Amino acid sequence: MVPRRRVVITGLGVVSALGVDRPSFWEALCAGRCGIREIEGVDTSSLDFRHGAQVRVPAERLPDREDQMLDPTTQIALLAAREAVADAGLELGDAQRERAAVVLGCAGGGKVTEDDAYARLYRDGKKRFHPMMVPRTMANAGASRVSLEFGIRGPVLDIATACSSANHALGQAFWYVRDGVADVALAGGHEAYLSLGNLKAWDALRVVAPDTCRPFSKGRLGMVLGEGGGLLVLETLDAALARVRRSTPRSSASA
Amino acid sequence: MTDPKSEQEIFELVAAAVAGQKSIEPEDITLDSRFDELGVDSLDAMEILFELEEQLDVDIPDQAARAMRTVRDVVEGLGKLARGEAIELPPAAPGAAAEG
Repeated sequence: MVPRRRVVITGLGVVSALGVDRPSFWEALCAGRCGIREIEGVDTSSLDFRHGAQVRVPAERLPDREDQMLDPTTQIALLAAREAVADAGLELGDAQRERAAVVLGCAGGGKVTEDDAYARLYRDGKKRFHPMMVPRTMANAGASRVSLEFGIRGPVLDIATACSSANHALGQAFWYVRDGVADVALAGGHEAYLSLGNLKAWDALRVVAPDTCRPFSKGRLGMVLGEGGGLLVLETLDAALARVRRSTPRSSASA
Repeated sequence: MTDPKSEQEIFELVAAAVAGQKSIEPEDITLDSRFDELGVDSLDAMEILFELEEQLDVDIPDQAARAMRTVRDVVEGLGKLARGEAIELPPAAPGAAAEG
């Protein structure tokens, strides 16, 4: 039997309606602020609800033209992954890239891009899709883009199990690291599909609250849709300790 | 294509599309510029062709697009499509049909 290794979390990245990085997210959370607001940029007049937890990524966070062209859900995954990797102080060498994994939970994929393109096709009579339509809209677009960002060549996959996608992704990544399939894994979840077609689909389910999200409240009226992403760096305890030891002289010199 | 454009106008559209994609100055692009020298890879080429097809409302056949190596190739090809002429397609390479 393969010996089981201790797995630790060494990095964290967050993109949410409360903040587009971990410090701002945490500050808003501690201050008791709510990320749910009126949805912007979508005509909600035909819906039974107007609110959502919409992410607003500041333009300066995505300076590269190629990144600006990605679907919002992939942008969210990318920003959260960059923050998590920087947070962990992780620098992957060639050999480590072969032993690294990306496991993200994303059930929808590039739904905003898809909705927009279909509207152009069916409503506006446009004849062409953008050539990057498939890589932008596929459900594993986020995991793929994150793997390209860090040159990761181990297992790279998306897990689509509805609202539990990210949970399953974290579990799968944990198993990979614990059982020696990978030494480090970027894992978590991301989603963004607040476009009219997708909002109508949720409206049809009759589960979205017209006011706000009040879980466990007797007078609750339903759920509220949100966008966001959260990524963790999982690695073996030994690898994490070795990295801390390597960086310790520098840390104590600056302390 | 709604209104026919001169070769110079088509060249300017092509130069602008390439310059936009590669973040270079349109003035640095001539009819003889080769795409490999401009650093245009296959992904760039897809974006550039898409933009030109959208702007001119023409469809560049895949086989013709693959044979285009210089800005002149694209300008001449678009000129033909704009005049309603067919682009001469290079002979298909053996096994090319299996691609994709």
